[in-house]
Amino acid sequence: MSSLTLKGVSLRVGDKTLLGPLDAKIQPGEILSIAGRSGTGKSSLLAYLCGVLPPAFTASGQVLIDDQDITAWPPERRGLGILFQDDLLFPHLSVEGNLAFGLRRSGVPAGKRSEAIAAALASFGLGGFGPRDPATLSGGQRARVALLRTLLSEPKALLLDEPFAHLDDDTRMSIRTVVFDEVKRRQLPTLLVTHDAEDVAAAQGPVIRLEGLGAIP
Amino acid sequence: MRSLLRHWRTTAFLACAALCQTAGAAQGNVDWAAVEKAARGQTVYFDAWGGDAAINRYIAWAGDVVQRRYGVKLVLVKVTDIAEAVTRVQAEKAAGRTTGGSVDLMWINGENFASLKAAGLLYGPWVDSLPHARLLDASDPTQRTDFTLPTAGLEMPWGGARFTLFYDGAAIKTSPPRDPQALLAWIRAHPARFTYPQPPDFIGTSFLKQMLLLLAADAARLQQPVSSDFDVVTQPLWTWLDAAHPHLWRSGRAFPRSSPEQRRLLGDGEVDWLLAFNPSEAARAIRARELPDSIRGVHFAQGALGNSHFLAIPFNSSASAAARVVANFLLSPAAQARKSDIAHWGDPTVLAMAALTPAERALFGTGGRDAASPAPGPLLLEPHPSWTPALERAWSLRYGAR
Amino acid sequence: MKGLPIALLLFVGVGPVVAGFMGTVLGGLSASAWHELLLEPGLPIAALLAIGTGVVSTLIALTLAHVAVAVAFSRLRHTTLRLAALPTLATPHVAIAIGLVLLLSPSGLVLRALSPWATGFEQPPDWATVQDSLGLALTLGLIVKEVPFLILVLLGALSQVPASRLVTQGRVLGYGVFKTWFVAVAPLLQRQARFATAAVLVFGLTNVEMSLALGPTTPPTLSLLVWSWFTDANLATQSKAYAGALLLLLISVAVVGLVAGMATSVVRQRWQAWATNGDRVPSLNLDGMAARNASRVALGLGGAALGALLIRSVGGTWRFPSVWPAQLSIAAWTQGISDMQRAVTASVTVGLAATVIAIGIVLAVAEALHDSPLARRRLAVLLFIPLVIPQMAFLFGMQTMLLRLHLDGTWCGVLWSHLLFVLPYAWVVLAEARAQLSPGYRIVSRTLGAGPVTTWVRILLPQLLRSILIAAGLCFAVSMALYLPTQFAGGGRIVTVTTEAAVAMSSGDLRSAASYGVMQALLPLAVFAVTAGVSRRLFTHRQGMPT
Repeated sequence: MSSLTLKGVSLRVGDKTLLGPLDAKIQPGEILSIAGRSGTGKSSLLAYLCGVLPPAFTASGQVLIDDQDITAWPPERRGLGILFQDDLLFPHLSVEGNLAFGLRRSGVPAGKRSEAIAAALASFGLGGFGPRDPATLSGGQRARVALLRTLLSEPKALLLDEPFAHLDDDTRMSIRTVVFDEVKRRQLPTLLVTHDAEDVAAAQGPVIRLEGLGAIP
Repeated sequence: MRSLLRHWRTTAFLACAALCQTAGAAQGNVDWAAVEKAARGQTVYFDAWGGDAAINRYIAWAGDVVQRRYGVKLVLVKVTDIAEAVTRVQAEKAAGRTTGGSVDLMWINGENFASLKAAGLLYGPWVDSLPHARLLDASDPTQRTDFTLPTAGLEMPWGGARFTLFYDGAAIKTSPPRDPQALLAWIRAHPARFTYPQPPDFIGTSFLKQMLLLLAADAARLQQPVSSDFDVVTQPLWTWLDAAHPHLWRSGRAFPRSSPEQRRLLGDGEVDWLLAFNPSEAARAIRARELPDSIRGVHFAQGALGNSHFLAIPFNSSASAAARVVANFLLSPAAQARKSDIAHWGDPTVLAMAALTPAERALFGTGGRDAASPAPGPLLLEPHPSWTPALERAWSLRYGAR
Repeated sequence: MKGLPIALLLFVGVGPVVAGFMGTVLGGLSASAWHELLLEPGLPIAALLAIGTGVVSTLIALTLAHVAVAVAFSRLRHTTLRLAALPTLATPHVAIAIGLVLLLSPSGLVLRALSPWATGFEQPPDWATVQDSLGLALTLGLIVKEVPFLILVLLGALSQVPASRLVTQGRVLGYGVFKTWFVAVAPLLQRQARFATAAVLVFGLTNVEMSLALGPTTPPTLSLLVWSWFTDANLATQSKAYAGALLLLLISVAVVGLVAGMATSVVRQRWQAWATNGDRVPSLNLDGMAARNASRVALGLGGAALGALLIRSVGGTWRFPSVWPAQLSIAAWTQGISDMQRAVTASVTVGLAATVIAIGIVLAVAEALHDSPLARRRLAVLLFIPLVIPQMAFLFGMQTMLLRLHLDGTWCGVLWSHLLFVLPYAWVVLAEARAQLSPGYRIVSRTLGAGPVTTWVRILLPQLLRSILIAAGLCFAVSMALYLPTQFAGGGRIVTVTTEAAVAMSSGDLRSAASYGVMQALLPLAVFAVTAGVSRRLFTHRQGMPT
């Protein structure tokens, strides 16, 4: 059980401040929503947290998991999971291949990885989908595979970048429920950026609203 | 058995080398065995006109032999005009590359030799020190002067040439024209069946010189450099061409690019004539199924323009020893005999038959003439090299831009 | 770290062009050279010939390519069109030109097939069907060679344009398919293809190998004149050649500018009026249009030229009007076998090395610049310079540079000269493909715990593989076709199938020229076949892969 802390995080393009400074501490199982229109730097904030901010931006502030400052760490060591509005399943790998890419080597012995993946799929109602081509899946199925891939990498915190925006109305509701349930079940501190009021309401956590430049708590 | 044979070959070769060495020492004071020793392992880049498959094959054969016999690697660098290689040597001189040049041996004569000689870009003199140089035909004036310039031992005669006209005996059944006026009459009577390669192609320019030698009021004037009387001297040539051009292939508005291209036109039946420097050209091409066997050769009655073609070594050659070894081999009776054989190339030899042993003479075959080659006739010497660019420029001014 | 691949790309792909261009400028900045140049007999005609053949062939080829793409789109036949374009695209200019001579000359296959039964000719007529003084045969040859290239460029651009939706939109408004196409889609495609069009135009203005076979000789085109001066033994002629190369450059820049300007004004006045006049022309039907048949003829001629090469390469004595050679002879193949082996080895090794190196460098730079579109655009402009200025304008100077570096006449020198022309094609295919991969893949992969190298090898590279294969086929074909760069950098010592074909062509030995021409076509086609085969077998069950 970890927490995710942002200390004085701000983003700039050139000498123009785009966002921040932001201070927040997200407790285990808590979902902090950052709401705002597009162009307010929400996605760039997530990129900064992951450690993949494009060179056009400059940023300052610290990111901590528990008391560990991870600001300077490479993305692969930070232990953050991220979901985008595009599911970004790797098109050249099967469903199982995608999940195996996410599944950490520790925890599951080499011979049991396939079984573990099959079990995880079944638990998400996707039993037998392992050999499938991701391109043949429905939007909801793909979203679930993407979530599962992230969870199998055992993140310490979860970042959600408008993860339900591309789904149709019925699917959106069910996927949102699946994701938020998993957040609670695994007690993941979660940062959700969205422009959808329903998402914010469903998250039932604290909210930060961005209005163009600067943050209004 | 095989090793014994090889041993015998080596012995014979050494004996021959020793003999040649004495001969060489007398002429040029060069230790030929040392030259061969230095040559071993060297690569000779041989820049030569590469437009004839038969010639390329002959050079490839020579390459195999010198590799086997002297450990010299011979690489043919095909050029469309040897002037390209002359240019490269000049560029290397300009870039300060006085050793390690990219050309080791070049096939050359005439104005290209003249410009390299004038600029001091040739290695040598080296020709007289070759063991086989004593076999050269001293009575042939084209071997000692190249377009009136003394060769001065800077280039080695490789082959002889006589300007020859070939015609299709199936189309011209009576005796063929053998002087300019008869040729002009034939051209007028047979529109679009005669042409010549476009100057500055070597054969094209040679055709201009051949006609000028026949037409000029004083042919001896051409042995001196060009000067202000160029227009007067050459006027008869332009008069002749002006009369002929409207009746040529493509009405004289287009010309074949080269003699081999004209050979293709003759073979396909587009024209009835082919101009070439090699009297055996047609005989070889008939054998190679490039021309029908109805082709016959003829020289102008007054004489055929004749010259020799040569091999020269640039000043910055990185393999001058090996280049000399290759040249000496190309001068050997065996190599010269193969060269003169129409089954291979059919290029006349530069060796004096009298200087050869009977066995060596026998290599050259019976001496019987094939039906397609003309009987040898009088020789007309090449004009001074300065006439070549002058004629080419004047031609291009008159006919090159229609 | 990021700067290293970019620096390498600039050094390899742009450096020699700059150095070579400086060398040419220095060599051509002499008043006496320009004086000599301007006194050259036939210079204005030679320049007009170059401009005329270049501009006319480009305009016609572009029209035909657009029509062919429009028809293929309307009938969902992209793949057929792509396949039809491939043989001629893969075949270098020299081979196409030789093949056309064999087809079209008065003793060529076309007239043989018609004689004497239809024409009454027992002897070939004295017609200037090739090397005519107006350059018509040369124009035709350029069209035949460039139509397939432009077709493939336009088909490539099609994937960047929402063509189906645009056409549907137009048809809903009551417009015919083809008016919709030429109002809504073609301009977008042309915008993507403008660099390629400029390259085609400049090549048409300045090429040597096509004019050598098909162009007139009294006088030849300007580029051929300059080339002949450069190979002249006389030093004064050399500086005239430098000045001539600069003149070629000036003419190219002026013509490209003029054509672009005129096209813009035509678009402003005529096209816009036509596009907005409200006339639906639902009946405009390209199926029966002359332009469509012409594009078929252009593609067909390319194929027929290849057939003619093959027949000639095995033909012996062959008098007009026999349609078949009197004797067949494989002499051209067997007797020159060692030369052929040497040339094929050089072509293949240089081609493969150039392909691998170009793809490697471009992948590294594309990775470094995947999120900097502006930097990519600027780099693309630099990389395209060798394609849109006359080759001779920098090859003269580049040869001097190689001479100083002791790289002239070496395999490495030739490889470098090929990279100049291969890199832009690798860039066009791969930089875009990389930029189009969602940045999210990298982020997801990294957050799932994969390092940067693992991410590139396991996630990004597989998604680029198909583009890499396309680039490989294209790069190899480009390298295979390069004549002047090989000739300049190789100095005759490095002999490729293309230089051999040109030597045989320029000396009129059509039988050898044909055998080398056949080989020139076969090698890139073989590489295309291999890359296409591999590409088809890759990820057969993965529909979501970028294509």
